[in-house]
Amino acid sequence: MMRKLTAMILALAMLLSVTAAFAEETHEPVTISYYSTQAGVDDETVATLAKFMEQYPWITVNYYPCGDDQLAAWLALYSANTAPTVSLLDCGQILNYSDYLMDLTQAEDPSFFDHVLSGVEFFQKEGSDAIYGIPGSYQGFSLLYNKTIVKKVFGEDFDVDTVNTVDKLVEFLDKIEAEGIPSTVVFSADWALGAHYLGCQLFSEWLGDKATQRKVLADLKDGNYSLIENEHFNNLMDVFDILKERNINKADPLADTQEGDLEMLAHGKVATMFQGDWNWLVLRTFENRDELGIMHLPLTNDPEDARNSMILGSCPKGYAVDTYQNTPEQQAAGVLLAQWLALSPEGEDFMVRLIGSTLPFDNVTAVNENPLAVSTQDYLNKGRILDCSTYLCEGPTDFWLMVGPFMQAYLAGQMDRATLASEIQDYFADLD
Amino acid sequence: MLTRRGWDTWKLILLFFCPALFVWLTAMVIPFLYGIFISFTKWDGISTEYTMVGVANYTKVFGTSKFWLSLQRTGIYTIGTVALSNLLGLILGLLLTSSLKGRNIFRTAIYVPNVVGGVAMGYIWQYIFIYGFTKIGQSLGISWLSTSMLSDPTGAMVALILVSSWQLSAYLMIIYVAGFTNVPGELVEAARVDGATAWGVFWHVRMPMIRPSITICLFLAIVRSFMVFDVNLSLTDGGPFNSTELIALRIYNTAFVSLKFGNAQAQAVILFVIVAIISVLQAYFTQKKEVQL
Amino acid sequence: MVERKSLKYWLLALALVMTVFYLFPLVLVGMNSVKTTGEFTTNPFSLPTRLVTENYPQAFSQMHFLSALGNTLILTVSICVLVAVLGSMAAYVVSRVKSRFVSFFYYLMIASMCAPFQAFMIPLVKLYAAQLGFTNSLIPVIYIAVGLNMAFSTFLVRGFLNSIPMEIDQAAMIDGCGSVRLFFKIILPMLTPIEVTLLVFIAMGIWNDYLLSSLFLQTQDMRTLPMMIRVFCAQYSTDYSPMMAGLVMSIAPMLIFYLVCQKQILAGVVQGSVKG
Repeated sequence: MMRKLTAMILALAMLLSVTAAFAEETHEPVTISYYSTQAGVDDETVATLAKFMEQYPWITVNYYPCGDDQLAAWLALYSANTAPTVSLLDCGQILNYSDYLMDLTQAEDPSFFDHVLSGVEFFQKEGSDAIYGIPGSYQGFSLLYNKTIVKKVFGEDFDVDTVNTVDKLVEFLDKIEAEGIPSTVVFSADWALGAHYLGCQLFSEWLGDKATQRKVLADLKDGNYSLIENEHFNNLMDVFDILKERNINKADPLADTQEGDLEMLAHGKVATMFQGDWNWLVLRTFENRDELGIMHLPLTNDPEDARNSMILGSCPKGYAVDTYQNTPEQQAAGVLLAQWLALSPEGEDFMVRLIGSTLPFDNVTAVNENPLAVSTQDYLNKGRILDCSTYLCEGPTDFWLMVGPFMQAYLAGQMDRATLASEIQDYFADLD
Repeated sequence: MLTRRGWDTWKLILLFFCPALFVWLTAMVIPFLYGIFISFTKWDGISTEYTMVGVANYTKVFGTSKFWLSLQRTGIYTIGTVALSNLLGLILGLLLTSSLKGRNIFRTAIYVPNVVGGVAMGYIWQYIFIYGFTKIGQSLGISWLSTSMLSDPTGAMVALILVSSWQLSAYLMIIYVAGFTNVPGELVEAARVDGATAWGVFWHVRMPMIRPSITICLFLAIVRSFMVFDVNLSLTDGGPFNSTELIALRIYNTAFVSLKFGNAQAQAVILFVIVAIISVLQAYFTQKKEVQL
Repeated sequence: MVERKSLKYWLLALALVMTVFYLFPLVLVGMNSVKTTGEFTTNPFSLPTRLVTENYPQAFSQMHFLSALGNTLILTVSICVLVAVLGSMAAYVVSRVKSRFVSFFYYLMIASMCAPFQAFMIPLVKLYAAQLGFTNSLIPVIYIAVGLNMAFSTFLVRGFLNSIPMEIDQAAMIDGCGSVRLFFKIILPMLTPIEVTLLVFIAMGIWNDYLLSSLFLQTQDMRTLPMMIRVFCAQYSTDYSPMMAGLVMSIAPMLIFYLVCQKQILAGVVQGSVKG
């Protein structure tokens, strides 16, 4: 009797566990949505999402492409109560709106973060362990240079790593000039000067550790910080003066376009340009372009200072999951999609081959055709990346918009350094 | 006046006026009132909770010199654009209603700038100003033309006015063409027979007859210039060093770059009040004149 | 006679110069639509070294041209018809009826034309999409666009109506014609030229509208031509040549429309003067 009962219980238990396992296999169908600020590649995005839906047949993904108003379109979706489940957004925006987004460390299985080698700090708030985004791409920026010219001027074996002091930089540029080739072009867009040259470099490791950077930001907001007395600010502007002095557009420094400047770089009409590896999307449209790469921009004359051999790196975009207008089931499916987009071979293929981005993951197999991203990867592998996450994540979102124009005025010789410094201070003091 | 009795009048109002009124109220006025409400709050763009801040946004805007500067620039831009686009539109209207061969083709050709959206045209003109005019200037050795207008604050404003007028005048041309076409031919012939000069015919016969067209065109040009956004964004993007950031672009940036929605709404409301006063005054005087006619 | 003939040549010359000024940037668009983007950036003003026809098929498929064209057409036609009919009816009342109620709202309507769109775009979405549940549909876009254009059309038609003598109304009313019949049978036909002008304006605005449509039409299959032109713009780069090919394709229907309308404007005017 007892044995029979035990057998029955056992059988029942087995049956139950089988049903349970079975239930886990059959998922309730769920419809989610994906919003991407990676504009210009809609059809490819749709194709990638189709592959996801093949692998996860119970999940249907609607795609919301962004227009050129990336944030306005995103907010409109929230206003309409149709918040996208997964959004590929700028890290600053993710942190701004983190109240509505999932802390991904609390996802059911956050082990996917094990594959992420670096970049999660771009999606974290001060004093919290929560991570609001999975890094979606990695970008390096510093001095883009034309390898063909450098080889011609300095010989095949020249190593740009040797340019690790300001004096050597000047020597480097002047030697190129001596060959009759203009040495640099300064791209004058407000976002390029405001965000990439000034913002990212000013509030980076050069200023000290993360705590020091935050202190400077806070002091600026309180109105008791003197930029003009800051050594790093002056180094940064000294080097800017060096570039400004040699700018090929010196006669008319604000009359340039991104495409025009890149065209000169690609065709060897100029040797260097301060910008980032994302410009590949423009560069690849030029026929017969020269070999290109990224090198660091030294800011001091200390060859021992490791920062003189580093480029800036950032995780500009990440995948975030909405918790405000999506059900728990949708959120769970959203986490699956977000990690798939970031870490699956298909998602990586999209980012690497199509967008030409480096990825800070341990499992990337896709081959990057973007020579600039290859440079970035090289710096990343060697650990020669300057952290500028304080600016991108915690700095004010409109810094580039408000301060970029002052940098333009400085570039055009209409503003001196002291005025620039005080304008930046005024800007911070005026923040709410 | 018409011999309609009270009830007939109301029936007419109800049947003919109220449908339009209803759509307008629901699609425009109610959202706008909502917008005014937001201008008294601090809001992040998503939350369903609004923090009431009273008139803080307004005092902040009024105390910001950059707001007034931007408004002042918009005023200068508006004066320039209204004058130039109407002048061009008037010339085109006159020219294309004269006994010109193939005027239909000319009209269509000149109309084209209108069909192309402002953003795309702004980019094309940017190329023309940066690489086109400068090349001409350099090859002819004209120094003021060999640097780009867009890199100089005054030049950039002139460029902005030029491009806007280029587009707007093609739009106004349509109204002026309609206006000139409505001038009875007999009137012009009669004046000619009486020995009036070409200028006399234009000034004393045609001009008075197209006065309604002129008022409409002035009004449209004023409103459109105050609201300009597309061309401003794509041609100069507010540059060089913020010298051409007009008010609509500033409002947009305040909301979607600085994420200060309340502040942006407050600026929009102030802009609305200013433009509304100007245009209602203009409409009021126009109607007065038309009654006298 | 000789003087008139030389004047004619001067006029023709002036017209030609003006046409060049107005068309030149568009010739650039056309010319660069058959280059590669790289060639455009390298040499924006030179003639194409070789004809790159691939831009057109590329733009056609990347823009989902047919579906975008279809959506744009539906929007444009329905908005135009509604605005023209409702607006002229309202304008007729404004022009003919002396009422404080009407003129109060008429001036408010005019004033509302001065409201910057940015001031109420987010509230629009909150009301129509969140409250009424209209998402991803052409209907709210049509409805709102009709509302936004109402003031302008009333304003434009009223100006024209004021120049039509009241005696015409009075004569018809003495003949026992009711207001509704009077408007549709007698007044509306006389409005043809201004209606066509109005249609040209409204159609153009809708054809190029980006901001309003982008608030309500999120998925790819609902998008319009001006939204699709932006598929060539990435955050830091623009694929210019296919974009220009796309531009050429999307302005063509409007040009044909304008050519047809022009004849209508002239026909209307001629008709009116014969009757007068």
